[in-house]
Amino acid sequence: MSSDTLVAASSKPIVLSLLLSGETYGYQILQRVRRVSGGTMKWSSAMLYPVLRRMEKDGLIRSEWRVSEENRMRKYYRLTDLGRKEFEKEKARWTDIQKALRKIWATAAVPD
Amino acid sequence: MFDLEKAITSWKRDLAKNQALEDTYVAELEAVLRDEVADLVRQGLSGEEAFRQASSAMGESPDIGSEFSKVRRLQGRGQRLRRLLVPDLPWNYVRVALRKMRRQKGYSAITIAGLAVGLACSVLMMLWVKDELSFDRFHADRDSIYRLVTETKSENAVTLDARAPTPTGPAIKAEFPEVLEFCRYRTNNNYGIRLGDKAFFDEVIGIADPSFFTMFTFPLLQGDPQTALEGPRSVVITESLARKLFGDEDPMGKTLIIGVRETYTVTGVIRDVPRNSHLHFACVMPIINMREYHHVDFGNWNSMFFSCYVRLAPQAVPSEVAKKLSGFLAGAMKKSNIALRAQPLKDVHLKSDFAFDLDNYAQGSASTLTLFSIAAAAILLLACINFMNLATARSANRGKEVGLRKVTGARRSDIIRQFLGESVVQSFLGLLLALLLLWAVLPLFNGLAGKTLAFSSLLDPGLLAAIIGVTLLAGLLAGSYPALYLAAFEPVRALKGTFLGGEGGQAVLRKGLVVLQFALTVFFVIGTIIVDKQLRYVRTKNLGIDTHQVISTVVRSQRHWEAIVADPRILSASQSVSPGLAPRAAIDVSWDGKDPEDRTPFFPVPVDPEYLRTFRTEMAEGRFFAADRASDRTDAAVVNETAARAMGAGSPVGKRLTVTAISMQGRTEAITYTVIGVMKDFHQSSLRQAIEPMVFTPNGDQGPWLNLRLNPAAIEETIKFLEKTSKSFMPEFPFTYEFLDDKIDAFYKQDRRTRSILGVFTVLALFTACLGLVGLASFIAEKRTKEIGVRKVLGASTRGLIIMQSREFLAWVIVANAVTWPAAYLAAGKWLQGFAYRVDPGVGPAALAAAFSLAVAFLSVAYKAVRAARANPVESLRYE
Repeated sequence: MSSDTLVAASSKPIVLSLLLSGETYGYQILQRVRRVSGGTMKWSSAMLYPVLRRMEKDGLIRSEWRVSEENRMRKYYRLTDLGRKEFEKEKARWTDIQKALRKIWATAAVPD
Repeated sequence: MFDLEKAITSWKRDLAKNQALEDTYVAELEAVLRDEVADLVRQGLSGEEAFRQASSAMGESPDIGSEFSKVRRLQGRGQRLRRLLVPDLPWNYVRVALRKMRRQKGYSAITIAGLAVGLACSVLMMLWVKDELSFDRFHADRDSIYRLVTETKSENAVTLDARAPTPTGPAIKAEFPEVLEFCRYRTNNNYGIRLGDKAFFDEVIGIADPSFFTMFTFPLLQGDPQTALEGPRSVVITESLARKLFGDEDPMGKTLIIGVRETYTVTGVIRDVPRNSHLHFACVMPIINMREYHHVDFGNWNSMFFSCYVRLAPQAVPSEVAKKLSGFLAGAMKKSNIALRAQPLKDVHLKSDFAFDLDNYAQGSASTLTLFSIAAAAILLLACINFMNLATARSANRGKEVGLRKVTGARRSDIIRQFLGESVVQSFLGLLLALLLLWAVLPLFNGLAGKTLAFSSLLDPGLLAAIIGVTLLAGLLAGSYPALYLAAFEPVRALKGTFLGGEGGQAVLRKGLVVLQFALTVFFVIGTIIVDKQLRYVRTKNLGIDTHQVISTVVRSQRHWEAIVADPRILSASQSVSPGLAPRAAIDVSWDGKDPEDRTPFFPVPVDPEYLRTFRTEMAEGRFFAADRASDRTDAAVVNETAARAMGAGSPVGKRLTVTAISMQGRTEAITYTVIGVMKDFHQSSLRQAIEPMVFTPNGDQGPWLNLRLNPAAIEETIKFLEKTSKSFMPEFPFTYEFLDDKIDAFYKQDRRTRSILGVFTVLALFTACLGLVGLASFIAEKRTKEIGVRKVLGASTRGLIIMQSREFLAWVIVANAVTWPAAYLAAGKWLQGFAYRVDPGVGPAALAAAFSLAVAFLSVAYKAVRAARANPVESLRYE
């Protein structure tokens, strides 16, 4: 599994999780991803926006152009009910994978 | 100095070059870029540095684009399915077609209006044909029922009689196993039906053998079809007659009166006779009653009274059966010149113009139907030609489009498909308009053609399919030539604009098509004029008899007769068979020295001495009957000139003439008369028929008929007087009368209809052809704008310019006239042959048609030509 594919696969749960706490805009998402990963995950806007587009098309999020405090046009995103449900599913999936990996790593001899 | 806005603008422009990125994506990316820059500036970087970092973090435009297009491809799945169903290209074709139509309203209006007229005529004809063909199809045994038609050959003619000798039916059923069933039938509509104080005299009374309801499919709502007509005084009535007579009561077993006093018992009730049945009646009574009503002798082979229908065995070949029956009949009648034909039931409605045919209330005519179907197809063809002409003429305007399409990869077949599609779209628009048109004019047409076509019958699936098929076909036909023509364009030449439409072979074809259009139109015009001329001739020809202001009515008693004759407003009164009543040939006529092989039919006409004065006919020789000579009442006869010629050279006066005929009492009688005079020939029926040999016999007073010449100054009050007299002498009968002029006019009813409808179709054909001419003329005027400008500057006059522009068109129209004359005269001549007495069409109709078509063509062309010629040359030279 290439890391690119992993990034693509994880982009949806990450966006869903970030939007859980309320509406936000593209740049903020990019910043927060960078911050929580300690800089290891560097998403580009060219990667993020298509993901947002697709999620909007699937009805998980909804967007709205608004004028920001700095008087600039900005597109704000927030979760829909469907998105919230999807988040629960994604959360369960990733938790299962995480649990499984933890168990494997704890019991198996991991070569250096 | 670094300008952030400028940098961003140029960054955006760069991004926008990427086709994968839509404007909204760019806007979103811009928002992110600005956020990033602001952030970096806050961290202490310079504006320039911040922009450089931020934009490079975003990646190069192609990378961004490819990321986006990945997603787009993922999103596109649903659209791909939609595209499979409705590919993009046809939508483009439709859009282009609609755009062209919007931009060239005039030309589109011409083609669509033409197609609408053509399609309206075609749809109308389909409705009509379908209606005519639906006649008598509701009978379960429609394919095995035939009507016997009696054929009598004489010296130079074959007469066809819709009836058969009375004993034929039972005799052939007994003799030939192929004849499964027979039914004799006729109608009467003056017996009258009565119940208490209710009386109906307009109802048609059918008179039939008991097999009527088992042979034909007229389902009985009540009663038994096998036995309903078995009792001699039984009657089967329709639902609506039952309602009129008995209201809501059960009619079964009730009695009613037919004729003066005969009482009939209702033994069955049927649903009303379908509109599309050639047999039409309000009630049916058994044939046996004709013995007392009309003295019919059921065993007499010379008695012709009923039409005879037979049901043949499924495997029987009708023509062979007819041959056998003919042989049988000739043997039974001891005549070799008589034969029978078997006419399929399905043909009766459209081919029922035999002598003594049923008074078919909605009689059809196969030839008329064919004529008008051809006419409708021709008008549609005219409209298709309009489309072809205008489309190819204007092809230069589409040359660039075709060139571009070809350069970007369109195949020949794509172009053909596109233009065919365009013509089909227009033809369907035409259909919509046509249906609207038809809906509006159908009532008018029904009045004209004496039909009751309903717009709602268009909903029939078969008919709808046919209409759509014809529309599609017209669209394809109209588009075929333009499509092939345009698809053959060489892209380079078309794009360069060196291509000039409307030259060379194509222009020749266009001229040919215009000539064809006008040829068809002129054909109709000449046809209409000749039909009209003949009908005028028929109306004004001296018939040798004066029927103006003569009415025929009936008289029932001597006292009634005396009361009428005594009135001074009656100029003369004659008890005689009225002219116009189809006469019946005598069984045999003989005189001394007659050639035994001579079978010329003679027609006896019962008259009285007042006949000559009432009808103002003239004697050629000898004298007419005199009231005061007793011998004239029994022994004398008068012949007409035709009969005199048939009797050989020399005067017939004084010759002994024996006439064998069926008397009014139904007996075969041979009476010998002495010829006392020869009457000048006169036409006593339609001019379609030649004058027949006639023998006037002195027994007119034995019948109820009465012909009265009225004083023209007092016609109305005389008729009122006659009505009052009739009421007092025979209160049980309504007073009926008929003007003989009307009766004679009725011979030509079908012809007059033909004339009116042909006239309408001619106008429509002319209209359509002119539409095309207007379109072409305006196109050519447009193309020659510059030329006209130059000519004007050089001193050409407006008149000269108009002549220059119209000359060519008028030449085409003249050519069209010339090629059409022979065909039109041939066709009209064929129609005229149906008349024994006909006009010589002469050159008048052709000249008139030529003048008319030239005038109309000139007017169509001149409008545009005048405008072009009057235009300011400065304007026209600036054109293009």
